[in-house]
Amino acid sequence: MKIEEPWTEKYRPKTLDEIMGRDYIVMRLKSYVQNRSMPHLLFAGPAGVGKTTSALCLARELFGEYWHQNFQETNASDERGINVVRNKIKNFARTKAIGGDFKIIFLDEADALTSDAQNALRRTMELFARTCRFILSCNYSSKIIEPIQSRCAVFRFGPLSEEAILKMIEKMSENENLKLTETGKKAIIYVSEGDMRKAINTLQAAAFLEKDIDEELIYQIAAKAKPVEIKDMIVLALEGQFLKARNKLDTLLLKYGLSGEDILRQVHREIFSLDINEEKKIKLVDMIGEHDFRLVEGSNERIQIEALLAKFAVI
Amino acid sequence: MFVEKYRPKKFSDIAGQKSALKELISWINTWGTDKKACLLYGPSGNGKTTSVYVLADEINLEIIEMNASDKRNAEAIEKIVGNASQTYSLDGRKRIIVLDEADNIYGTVDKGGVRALVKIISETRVPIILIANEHWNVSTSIREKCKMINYPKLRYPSIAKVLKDIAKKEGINVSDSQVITLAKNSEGNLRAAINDLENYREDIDKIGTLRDTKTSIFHAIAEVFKRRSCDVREVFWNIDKSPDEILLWIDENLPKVYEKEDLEEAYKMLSKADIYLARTKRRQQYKLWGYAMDLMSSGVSVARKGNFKFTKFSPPSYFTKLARTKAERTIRKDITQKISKKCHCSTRVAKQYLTIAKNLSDYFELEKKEIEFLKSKIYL
Repeated sequence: MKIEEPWTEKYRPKTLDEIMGRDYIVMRLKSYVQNRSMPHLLFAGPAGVGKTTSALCLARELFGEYWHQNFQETNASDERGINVVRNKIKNFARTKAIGGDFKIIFLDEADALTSDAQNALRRTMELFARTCRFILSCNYSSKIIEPIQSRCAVFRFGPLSEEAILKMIEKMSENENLKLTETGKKAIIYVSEGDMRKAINTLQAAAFLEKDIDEELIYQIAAKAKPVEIKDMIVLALEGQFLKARNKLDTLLLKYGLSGEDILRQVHREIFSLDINEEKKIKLVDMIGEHDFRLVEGSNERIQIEALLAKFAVI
Repeated sequence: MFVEKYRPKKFSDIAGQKSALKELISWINTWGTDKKACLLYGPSGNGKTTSVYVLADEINLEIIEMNASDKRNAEAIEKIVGNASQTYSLDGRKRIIVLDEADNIYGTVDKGGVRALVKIISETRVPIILIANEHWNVSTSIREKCKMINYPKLRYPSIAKVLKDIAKKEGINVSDSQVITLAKNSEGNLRAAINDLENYREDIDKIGTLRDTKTSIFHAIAEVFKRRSCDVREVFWNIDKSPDEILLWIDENLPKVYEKEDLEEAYKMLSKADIYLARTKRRQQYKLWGYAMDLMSSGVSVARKGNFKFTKFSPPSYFTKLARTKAERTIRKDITQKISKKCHCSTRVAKQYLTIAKNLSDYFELEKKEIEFLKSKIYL
């Protein structure tokens, strides 16, 4: 029997064509494959939106069977000092590619490199450009020093669309013989917040428990309340029904076992869909932020959130 | 890659650096009579490293290069540069030593590197060229030993000309106005411009949106000021800038659009956003970033009651101002160091002498630009 693997790996796209919701970037990367040449690249964007996958697919299509030998992955947040650049990276960069003109160094979380280390990278990128191309990934390209940015073509990966995530989870549930309800799909999209890795991990975690998957299960696994319950609590508080609002809060804290932080995060998200005027929304956001901070400083979560709910009534 | 393929081979191919090249050539031609090292400085992608390689090519020198990707502590510098500085190369060619990224010899990792370098420059028998982006990051003791050659930021017409040549040779169909857009977008960085040309050769229409963070951030802040809605928070999800940068962008442009009470209310939002940013950093609580973002975008947007008036937006001036004062601070530091040596006091006490230093410039051995600096300041 086949060893079970994480679905993030099992369903990680193998070719550029399989990548969802990145049409423009995929088109550009394919033109590199076609020309058998590419510049240094800088992929910027949040977690789980396809940066590493794009790099892997590009390498696979460029190098075919030799892609493993010609692709070096280094996570800069684990080893981020200048010595990594001067030793490990430089050594890989200077050796010849196998069965091709150049190889690729993929430097994940490059914004974690100290600026000293980034500086040490500059000339390496140029001196060995004939044998080696760099793909740097980071959250914000502005955290990469200008001389490196100017050596790279910059690609911005925004959060994935709901559509792209929906397509993926539908494909997986069909493949894995899962029964995923429509509300269950919506729930996955809600908890994933545009992060494909989170979406896939949530679905796999649910599938370990049951084959019939509905929203209850998803929210439970993701340690999230149903958005509607959060909304109920907010509305009750706004109407001044403090005790009822607090009952809701207690259910969330005790029955669902949510942390105060989780609750406030969701309260924050729900504010913008409330039917109140914009000025009020801003005031609420500011209050939530203040109390979210007090959670850090204080010791009793319930009291901090109660105080927030009480404030809602008088706004 | 175009950048490598079209790297200039002759002096005449190097774009827009006539006066720097002239200085460089005359320095090498009269080497031995003046300073033994020179420091080429200027923003990245404007021809510093290239001109050294062209120089070596044209007058047939062997280059010994050391850059930040090499270890540069005292031992390493003495071993590589020290040996090279005393000998001719095997084939009898003259040598030249190049230290790229000289603003990045690091205190702790490259221990003793600066001192070793100062010593080598004093004793060298071959020319030494240092290259740096920001000359004030090169330590004073090194700078004193160098002829300083400035490579100013390239102007966009020089960049456009190079791009046009390359496009022609590569058969890329691109209009004059697209070339100019590319050149302007690069902000004086020729390498970035050439890379953009190569990268977007098949997609020239997209040129307006490249190195693109600019265009899109302009669009995003316009939305904030225009729409008066909480929805504007979403505009920033696709912008490649961190919250603290976005805060500065909004701060820069806010007073151009908002007035009086609106301005007060909006600044209240920015001030609160700033506090959330500080809390995020101090407590390592990244969950608080979201509140900062919402207040600086939606909060500012909703704060407007008056009419929207359209204006031209600009990037934060704070950084450029900071950079400018950094140069000043460096000069000031250099001067106080000289004074402190001569007057046997700390640099803090030496500040007392600043007001009289310009009249005693010979005594303190001040350079011309230092005297000018002192003269230009009323408050010191």
